Amino acid sequence: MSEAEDRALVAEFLAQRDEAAFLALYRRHTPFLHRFLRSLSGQLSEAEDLVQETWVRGVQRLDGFAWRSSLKTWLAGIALNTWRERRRAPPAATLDDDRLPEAPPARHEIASVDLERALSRLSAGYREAILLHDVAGYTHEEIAALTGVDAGTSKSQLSRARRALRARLSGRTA
Amino acid sequence: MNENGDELTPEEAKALRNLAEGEAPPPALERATVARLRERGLIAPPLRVRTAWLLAAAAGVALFCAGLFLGHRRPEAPSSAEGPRFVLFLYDAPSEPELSDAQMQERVSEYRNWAIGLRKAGADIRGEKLKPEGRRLGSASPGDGPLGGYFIVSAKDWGAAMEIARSCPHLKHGGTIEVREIEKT
Repeated sequence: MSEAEDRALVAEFLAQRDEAAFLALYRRHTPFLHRFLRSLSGQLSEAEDLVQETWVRGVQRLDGFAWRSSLKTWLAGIALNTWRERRRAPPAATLDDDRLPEAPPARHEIASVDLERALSRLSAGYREAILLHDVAGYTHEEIAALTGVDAGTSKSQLSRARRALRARLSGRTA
Repeated sequence: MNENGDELTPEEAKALRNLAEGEAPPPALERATVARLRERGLIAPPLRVRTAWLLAAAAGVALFCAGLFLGHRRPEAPSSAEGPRFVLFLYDAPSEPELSDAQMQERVSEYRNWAIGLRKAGADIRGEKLKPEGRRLGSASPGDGPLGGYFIVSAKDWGAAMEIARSCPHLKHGGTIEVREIEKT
């Protein structure tokens, strides 16, 4: 997925607000947004509504997008903020999770359903950290730009989040 | 497991990557998203919808001219057919609202009646349906909206052609008409 293609599609869309150009953009980026928001919210119906709202906001602001990040990262930021607003509470890591055991899970295949369930039981801040870094593949610098925290905070948040996730998964097998 | 316990095990990393490659979003989500954007006026309706009434009207005129419309026999070719002929390019309004089925039918009738009236008055008028795709060369832009269709009409001179163009319902619906005389070859 090249930025040049995204730029061409955005320019084509902005020229006439053409539905065909929008659909091309939608089909390139929605699979990621859908999975990202589904994992964040833990609910399929809410994720679908969030996808729609992300595109509404994205299209509203698209002519002001300056390409300082990739379009995917920019959309992910909108999706993240949309989800945060929907929750009506700022994300905060719960200290309780830090006190959970660090024992690694047994070496076996981890089913997606178990992983999603464990993720859904994490605090919102931890869930964000894992989804952005380990699922979506963003660097700490990119996460810092998306979330407004510095890269060091992102790293430490991820570290705590991984321990909490591991604890949830261990609880599954206990 | 690594020394500090913060890095992912291969199994964990694989499972998390698998999450990034989950199921595709449902097709209904695409339709719902487009509908929401349209409701808020953030995207233009598809060209084929916006111009459907015009294309239907042009098709109706073509049928009429072929003597097939409503069982009418094609009248004798009017004498003005040998005179100058003009093309009326009809550009849609930039923000043409989406029409309901009833409104579309009403619009079709309006254009058809306009063409029939001209035909009865002796003008040789015919319309053609245009495919929505198009290419434009050069930087000149005759209209902000898309080219939806055209009529070819006979008229004795430019004044008569412009009078016909001014009578076309397209103008009152916010569209633009470009009149060009067909060069005889």
